[in-house]
Amino acid sequence: MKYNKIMINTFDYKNANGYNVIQVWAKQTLQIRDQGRLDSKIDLLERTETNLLPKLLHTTTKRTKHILHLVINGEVAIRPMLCRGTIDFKNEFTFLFGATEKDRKLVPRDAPERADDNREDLILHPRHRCKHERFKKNLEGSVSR
Amino acid sequence: MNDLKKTLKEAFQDKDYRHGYVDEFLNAYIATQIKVLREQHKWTQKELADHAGMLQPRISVMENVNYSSWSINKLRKIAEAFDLTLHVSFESFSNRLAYIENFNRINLERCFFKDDSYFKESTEYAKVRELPEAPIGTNHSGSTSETSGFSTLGIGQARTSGTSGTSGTFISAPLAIQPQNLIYLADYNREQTQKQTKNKPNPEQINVSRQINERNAMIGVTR
Repeated sequence: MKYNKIMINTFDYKNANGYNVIQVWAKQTLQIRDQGRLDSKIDLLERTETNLLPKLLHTTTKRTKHILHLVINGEVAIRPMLCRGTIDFKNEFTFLFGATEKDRKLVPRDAPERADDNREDLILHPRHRCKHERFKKNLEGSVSR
Repeated sequence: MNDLKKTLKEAFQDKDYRHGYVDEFLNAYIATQIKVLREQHKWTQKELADHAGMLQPRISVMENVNYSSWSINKLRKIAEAFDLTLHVSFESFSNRLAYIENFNRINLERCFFKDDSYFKESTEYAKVRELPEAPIGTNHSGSTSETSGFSTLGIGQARTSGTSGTSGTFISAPLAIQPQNLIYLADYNREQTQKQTKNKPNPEQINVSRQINERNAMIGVTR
């Protein structure tokens, strides 16, 4: 059996002011080790068939059923919110909003709803996104242990 | 060098980053391999749990890519259930890059013991060794039938040193024709030759004793 390499495209949501919300959140929140963790998970998402990786993507709430999140556990529990598409639902994911988890509660609490708002904005304005970039490149000056 | 490898080569210059990245990858690697091996066996989580002496929810947790509290004892149990061996080793980052680059289902699958051709061959060699010692010039092939999947490999008319004037041995054994089997058969042949040489009296000793007997006869000495 020949193995076909999977390649999923990932994008970052940009708000009306042109800010890449995920990159800004990562710069303010994540330490370098956490960036490594997050980049590792995103590489797996991009390069591996999703049914191979058990429980890589988690759903959020019933009201925000299109919003998924990655789970990255460490000193900070990282929960970036994303969705399939929004243009090609089979081969694309878009990061919509950055969140963390503390005491089993999301920070900010309304992260799935805010991610859903961004998704709706993206559906209306498909240009409000850009190709996802690795965090390491964009985190010069971020907190290092 | 592919894009990911090139990117990681640069990003891994930072110690915190590379350790964070690889920690997360390792968790995903182990969890995914347990799932892949279970599916290779066509087992449910419950069946794997029964073979490993664990509970099904524990298997479910271990198959979660986000699980990180691995225990070597638990992994040993899983390895035994799959009839595989657990390999724990410290690795350089350059070696780890190869795992990251080639992470896919096929590379996670393993050959289980029952399908391991190396051990199948070994069993066939053991059968050859158990055969009764054949007199010189006879052929074992009459007493061994061909096993399906293995060809009968004959070492034809191999003349053995120290047995000049006699016919050579012919060993026919049901073994796959592979380099390692040729070594097994060479060993087997050498053993047979040594046995034959050991049983046969040395021609020089025969000559000396004959000369002594003749001289004794001439001088009238009798034993």
